[in-house]
Amino acid sequence: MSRRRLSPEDVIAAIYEEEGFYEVERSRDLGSTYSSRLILSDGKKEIAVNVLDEESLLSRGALQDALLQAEKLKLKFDGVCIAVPRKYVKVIDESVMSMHGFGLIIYDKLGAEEIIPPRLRERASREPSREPNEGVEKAGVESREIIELRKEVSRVLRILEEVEARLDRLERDQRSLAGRISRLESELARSEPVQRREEVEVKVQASPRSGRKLPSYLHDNPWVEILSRRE
Amino acid sequence: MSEEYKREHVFGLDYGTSDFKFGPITLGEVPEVVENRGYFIDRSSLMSRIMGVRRDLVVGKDVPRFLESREDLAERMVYPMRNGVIAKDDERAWKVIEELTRYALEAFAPKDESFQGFYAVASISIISPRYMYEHLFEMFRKINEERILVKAATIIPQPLAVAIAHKTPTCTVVESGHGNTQICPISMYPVRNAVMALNRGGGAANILTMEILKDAGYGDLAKEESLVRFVKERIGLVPRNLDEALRYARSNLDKVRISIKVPGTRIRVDLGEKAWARFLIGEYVFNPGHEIFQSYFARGMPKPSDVKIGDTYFYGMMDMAEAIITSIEKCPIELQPHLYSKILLSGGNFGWRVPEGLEGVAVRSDQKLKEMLAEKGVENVEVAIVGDPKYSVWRGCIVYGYAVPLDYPWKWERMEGWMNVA
Repeated sequence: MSRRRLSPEDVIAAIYEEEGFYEVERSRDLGSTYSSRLILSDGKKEIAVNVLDEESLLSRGALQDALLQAEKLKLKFDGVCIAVPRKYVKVIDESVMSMHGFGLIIYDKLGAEEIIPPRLRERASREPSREPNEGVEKAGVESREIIELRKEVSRVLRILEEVEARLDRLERDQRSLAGRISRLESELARSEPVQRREEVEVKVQASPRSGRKLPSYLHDNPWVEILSRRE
Repeated sequence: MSEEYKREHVFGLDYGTSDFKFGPITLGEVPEVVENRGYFIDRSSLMSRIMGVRRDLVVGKDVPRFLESREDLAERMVYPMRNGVIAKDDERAWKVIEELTRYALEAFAPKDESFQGFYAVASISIISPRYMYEHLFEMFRKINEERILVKAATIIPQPLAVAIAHKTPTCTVVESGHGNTQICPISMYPVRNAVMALNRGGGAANILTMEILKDAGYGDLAKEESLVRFVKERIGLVPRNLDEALRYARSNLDKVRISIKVPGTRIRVDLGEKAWARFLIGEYVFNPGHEIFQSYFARGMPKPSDVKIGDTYFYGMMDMAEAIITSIEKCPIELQPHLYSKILLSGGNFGWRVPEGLEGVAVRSDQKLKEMLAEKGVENVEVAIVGDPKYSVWRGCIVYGYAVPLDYPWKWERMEGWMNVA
């Protein structure tokens, strides 16, 4: 049994969804070696988010590269943000980001947070700049895009295979441990007198034996007690 | 079999009208979601022979890979729960439900020998007749013939699951999905004889959106249901008061106008001067009786009709506040104030947003219903949209399976408990 992992792009898209933005595109940033890109729109404005992950930030210059790429994006989009893992927030000077109109988002496994909102531009002022040489640029970008995407797909597939193998191993270990605990518990139960109903009800509040954290909707839920008394 | 085993192997199955949400307790907060549909493959077709297809029916995430021509879609694609109820003899719909259930259970069933089946908690519409319960239990037994995937099963109504997920033992749940809207007062148990059902949900708003798209010159796009739904979700607005909102929209076109891009395509939708029609989409869900909709009915748009399915009447044109009042007034007078004081709105059909700059003109579903109830003289009302409405039924299933003792057997008179199907 598996638990879903959310990507940084998922958690970032979620905070904007609350403001009426939806995801239009998710891709690798072709102009950059380091970041991926998320495009969001609310029907009136389009925001580009350059997402840097922990791995990319290990490379020197990743942040400068992302900022330079983001500067170019200002011509195409109404707002531009940089997203970095929460622990890297201290290396970024918020006032400089703000001065240049960039938004700043931090994220971790639990969610994302908008530290600085992007400065939004008027649509009319950016559209003319998209016109010249658009077709030529597009053809170049498309062929590069295909090569990059192919590389990315094989890299991601490789990683996925490794992760799946590790997950299989972990699940096997977990199930074998759970089986052993279950056997020990049944032996223990046989050696103890039959438990009274009240004692069972108290146990209902406890965490599953695997030690996993209970989901939020089970915590302090009055229905757990109501339903456990059904007889 | 111990309580501990049961708690670790609770499996929720929410058969929504549009989506099927499923997964074990170990998924935590968010279940897997696939569309509640199945595609019957034409096995004689060249494509299926080339691809070596051996099965007749495809469900889950594979469906798009097997789609053939647009003409075949209507005939081969089956949405079994579109109305919340499956007819007794609708073999294709039952087959899709069985295949989806098998798909869900197999996706998470551990391979080791210590696994002795899940404790499955299925959730269906409150207006589902008894034969649906019988059919589902039979289906679990059939699935077990190949391999034991379900140790015991139970079935609970969706509004009860919502109340459980939101930790509220006394409340009124309004669950609005694609095909219908169910209103169910709850006081520890669902008050079944006070249930009201409306024969409209998100699907009705889709039909109106189609008409609006046609009027704005997007007749070709209006044929694609998924696209219409996308457009509805992006442009639809619920007006505080429809007449005032229309006046505002006509004199403030720039504030109401919107241009949306369909992801992954070149398609851009802009209603232009007809942007005022955005307010009609939301209003239609709450009150299709407004006179402005008459012109659409006159031009052939189907009117939500009163129908009887099983023992339940589904009202087509009754406004939502009226339906809530009628339902609560069927309960004991002493209980009524408690039911008004906590009205929970659940389901994708209540997820309307208020865009920046339109506050006051457009409102959220909870505000809309509060105002509608106040107009009818009901005060001291608390209406709340449940968080993560898409997942609340599944979460309620998990809590139910976790808490109900495994030695509590299924009772037909109460419609609850565990049915041994292994």
